[in-house]
Amino acid sequence: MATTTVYVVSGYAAIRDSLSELAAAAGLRSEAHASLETWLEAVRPSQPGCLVLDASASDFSGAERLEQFASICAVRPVLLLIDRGDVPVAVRAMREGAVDVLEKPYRDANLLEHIQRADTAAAQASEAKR
Amino acid sequence: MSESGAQTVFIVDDDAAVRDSIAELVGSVGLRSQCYPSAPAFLDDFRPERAGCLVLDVRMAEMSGLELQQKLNELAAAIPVIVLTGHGDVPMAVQAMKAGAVEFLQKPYRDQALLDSINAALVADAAARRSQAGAASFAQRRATLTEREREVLDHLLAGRTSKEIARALSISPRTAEAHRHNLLQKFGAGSAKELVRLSAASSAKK
Repeated sequence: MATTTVYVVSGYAAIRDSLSELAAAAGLRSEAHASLETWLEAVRPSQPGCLVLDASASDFSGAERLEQFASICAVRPVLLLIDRGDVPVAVRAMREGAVDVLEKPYRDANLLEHIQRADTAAAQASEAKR
Repeated sequence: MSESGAQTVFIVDDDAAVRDSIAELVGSVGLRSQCYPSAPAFLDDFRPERAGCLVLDVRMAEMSGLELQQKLNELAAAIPVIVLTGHGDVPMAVQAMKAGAVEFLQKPYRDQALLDSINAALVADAAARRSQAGAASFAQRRATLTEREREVLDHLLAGRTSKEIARALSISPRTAEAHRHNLLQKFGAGSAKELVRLSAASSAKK
């Protein structure tokens, strides 16, 4: 069943490490990247998996960036982590197709629940493509 | 602003001062509005065929904005919803967006930001209604076809050429071509591709 990957993208090593551990503890395969650019270079859209993106690893101000974000959301479930209270970014991300937006600091159990849901959705999507 | 002539901005807020100020703002750019002091009052008066958008407060006594969104979703009402709130937070915004809101604005908002959202919502509503009308007429037109025409239509929608259709139905290529020509005319389509688009829009509606 572990045909999908939880892609973790954050500029912070501490967040990458803790999310990777969290995923591993739940029996999910994960892969961490320090920036959206390196992730985009390493992972093709056809590779199944969900994306847990730390908003601080990217910049959502430009229209081009938003379009890029929307195109990622079109092919896989995206869970966005944002700074506490950043309502405008949350609204923009949801409008572009994120499955969920969570504030930092997050509770591990709550985040894991969301990751598992996103992973299941990714697995179903890749199953449906076959 | 030709399309907005028949559109209404529905305003639901339990604060009369907020209702009045939004109505005035909307009126200042020539848009029509209608105010309701509560979600149930809006629901009582709601008719899905009325074009426009909904500007909705979150916190209201009888029924919250989110509950109204859910009610509208249950009714499969497609009216675009702009959510306004005084004390918004991220979970509330995410919830509103998941329930299908097109925008979530916090008070105090800039007048222009609200107007931009309203205009975008009205454009979206008009577009949705146009494609819905197209979908309805596709089904209606299909119902008026003869059996043979319907067969040809199905082949066309499957992407077959006149030649292939002729072979499949054992008719002459000229007859198949004539059917194709008539069908395109009946559906007001310029090409078989456009026919496929109209059909897809029609089935997406169901």
